[in-house]
Amino acid sequence: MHKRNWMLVLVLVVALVLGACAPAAPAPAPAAPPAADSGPVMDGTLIVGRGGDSVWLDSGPATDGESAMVINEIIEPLIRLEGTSARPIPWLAESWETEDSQTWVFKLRQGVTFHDGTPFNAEAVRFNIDRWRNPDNEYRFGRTFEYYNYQFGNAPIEEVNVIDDYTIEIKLAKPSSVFLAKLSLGFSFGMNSPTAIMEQGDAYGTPAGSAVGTGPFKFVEWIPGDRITVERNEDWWGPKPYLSRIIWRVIPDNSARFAELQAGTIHQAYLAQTDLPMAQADPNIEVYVLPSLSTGYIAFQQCTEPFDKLEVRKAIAHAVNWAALIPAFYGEFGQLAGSFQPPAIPGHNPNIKPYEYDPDLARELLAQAGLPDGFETDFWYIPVIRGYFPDSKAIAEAIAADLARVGIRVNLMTEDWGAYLADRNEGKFPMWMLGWGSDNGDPDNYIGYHFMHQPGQPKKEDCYDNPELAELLIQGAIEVDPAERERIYMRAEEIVKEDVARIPVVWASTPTVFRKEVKGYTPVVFRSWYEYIWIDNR
Amino acid sequence: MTTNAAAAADLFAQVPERQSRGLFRDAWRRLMRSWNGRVGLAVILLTLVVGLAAPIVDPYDPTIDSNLAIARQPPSWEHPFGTDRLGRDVMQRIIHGTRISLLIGFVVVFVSGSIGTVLGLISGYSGGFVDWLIMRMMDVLLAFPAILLAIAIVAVRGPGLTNTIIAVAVVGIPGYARVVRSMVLSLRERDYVDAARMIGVSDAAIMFRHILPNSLSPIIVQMSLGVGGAIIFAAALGFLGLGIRPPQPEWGAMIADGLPFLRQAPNLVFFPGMAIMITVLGFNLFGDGLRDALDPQLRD
Repeated sequence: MHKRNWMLVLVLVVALVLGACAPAAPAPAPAAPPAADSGPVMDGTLIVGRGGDSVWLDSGPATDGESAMVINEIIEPLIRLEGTSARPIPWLAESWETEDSQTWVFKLRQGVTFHDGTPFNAEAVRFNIDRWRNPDNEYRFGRTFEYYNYQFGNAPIEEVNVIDDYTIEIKLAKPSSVFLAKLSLGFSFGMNSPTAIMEQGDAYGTPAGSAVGTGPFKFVEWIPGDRITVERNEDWWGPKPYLSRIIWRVIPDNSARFAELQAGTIHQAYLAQTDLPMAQADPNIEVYVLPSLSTGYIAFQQCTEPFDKLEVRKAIAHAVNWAALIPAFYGEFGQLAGSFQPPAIPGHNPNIKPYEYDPDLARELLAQAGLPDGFETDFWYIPVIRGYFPDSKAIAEAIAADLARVGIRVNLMTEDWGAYLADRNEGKFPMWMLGWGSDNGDPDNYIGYHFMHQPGQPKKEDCYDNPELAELLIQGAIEVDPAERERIYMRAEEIVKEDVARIPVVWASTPTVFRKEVKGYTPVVFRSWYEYIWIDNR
Repeated sequence: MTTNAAAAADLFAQVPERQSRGLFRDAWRRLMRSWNGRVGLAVILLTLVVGLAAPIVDPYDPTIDSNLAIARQPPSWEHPFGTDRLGRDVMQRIIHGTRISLLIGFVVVFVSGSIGTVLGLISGYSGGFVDWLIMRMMDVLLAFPAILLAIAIVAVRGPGLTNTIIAVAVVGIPGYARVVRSMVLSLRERDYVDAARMIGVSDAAIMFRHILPNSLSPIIVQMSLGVGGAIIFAAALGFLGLGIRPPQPEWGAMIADGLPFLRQAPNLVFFPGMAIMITVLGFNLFGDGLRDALDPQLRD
């Protein structure tokens, strides 16, 4: 009897283990008439797996991608950008007009209410803008509005006037051609419910409170470090979303996240670059390639030796086989960079070609610079994984090996990410790698962000000063005519190339990865447009 | 006379062969008789030969060794352990990494062993306030988790070979100091120490000429076990990205580099992991064998 009991236990354990090991693939769907298979399916819960948690669900202090992807579904800005074209389209503002790019009048969408029932009107807009622009605003609760400082630092919002319930006038300190593109950054410049902020106080936008906007999905719960849940806003002003719920789950381990996607316990995942080839090979997974909106580059401290010499910077540009890095580290998610800005950004200059790999020329240039035997320097590589440098250490090692072949001996250095960014700002690195991803597709937020300086006052990080470039970039941020802006930024690209102010290495794109049963997704940047997505398990 | 000589020879013949020929010869004999000692020694000799012969047989410069055209190949006849994401031969890097690991192992043990021994001698022999001060300092070092202390040292001084050695060595000091001190505490009460003191031998001479040689066996055991510990500790630092700077072929860093590809290319992690395991196992087996061989309780 005793023995038989043990056998029973053993059999049960084996059965359980085998059951747990069985692939969690969905059961094959019964053959249904094809007609029933087409068309969107109402309801369904979409589960997204990501590496980290959101920091804020308050549109204003948020700066990171994890916060933005949730805020974008709950809280809406006045303007959004259309798909990949980066053209401003009406959102909570139905129309706008300006004569001098300095005073802007917006007509607001009528009949919109926040999730808590507060009406959306010009007063609500003024409440939010006052919160952005005034550091002493009592509803800021001591939070830093970093993106406002950075986007509007040069031309702050000076005045906000409520003209009537649905008309508002915004005056800038200086004309700005990129005002609309800036307003489209919904994670920082979205419309929070004034009532919710006043009632919740310091808890608003944190796990202790909630987030209240006008968007297609309403906040349900936020369990820190675990998940954020939102549900369909049945009263949304737009078309009714198909999904009834979206859940963002935090799964820190890259392999665990990928395994869950393969098992079907999550529908969308942000994957490590190294897992992408396997994801593409999986018949249940769809990898959507997006147009590139980021650049990985090499930069130099140009006031100190030896990088103060143009020949040395050129020598480095020709000493490395940049083209070989692309297939090895990026696959189809990277393209060898020519100009600094990728093709999707206005002002991208297609005439600028990548540097040719020519070690002999590099040695010649070094000799011209008075360094025939090369030199030794520190080369800093980023300590984190980014789409533009998915395997930064190995990429740095490959670059270092090519440099060693022409006599440039580099010590590969890195440090903690925060310290890295700070030391780079202080100009402590002779040569370093970094990258940039566009926030809104505007060149002022791209080449402008990197090289904007007052003539004669170079930035500390690279100590690069070119008066012509400085004037161009200042002009570009004010100019309204798109054709003229395009001309300005194309010339700026030429100057960056002539001076080897940076070596653009790669234009990279971060793919979006869904399971195949998720339909209705169009690969566009800046936002996932979840209101058009449905899950089809038929 | 001849009978006398024959008788003497007879007498010697009766002396059992197990006659002691000195502590270390005996220990060696016992060591060679034990399985642990033989296998450990064989592994150590193998790694030493590999480490010493590598640069002669195959001159290797890690700074220019990359060939992206053959990146991430599975094991083949040409590359028995495969190639990594820079197209470097994994076997070649493991072989050349042996030098780094052995260098760290031996230098660390030498440094922390000498400093720890001297501190332990002074502490145990002096007693009183000096003893209290040194031991409290050792307690402070021991109070930190070893890896945290090493990370702190590397964080302050920056990564690199020298700093890795310093970090791992500092962490090892208290172990030696405590072992030596406990030996000294029992030895300093012995008659021969009293005798030496009475005829006016200086404290330093008593410590280093009389007490130290008699406490050597635990130090030697601790050191032989310490080499393996130091190698694994340095690999852990390398794994955390705090050890030797790339592109030097360090085993721990090789594992960290290969980890993201664990599912596609397990060879990138498996082979450096085996290298660490076999080497450390070798030193630990040897240390175990040595401990048994030097243990006075086991002397027959």
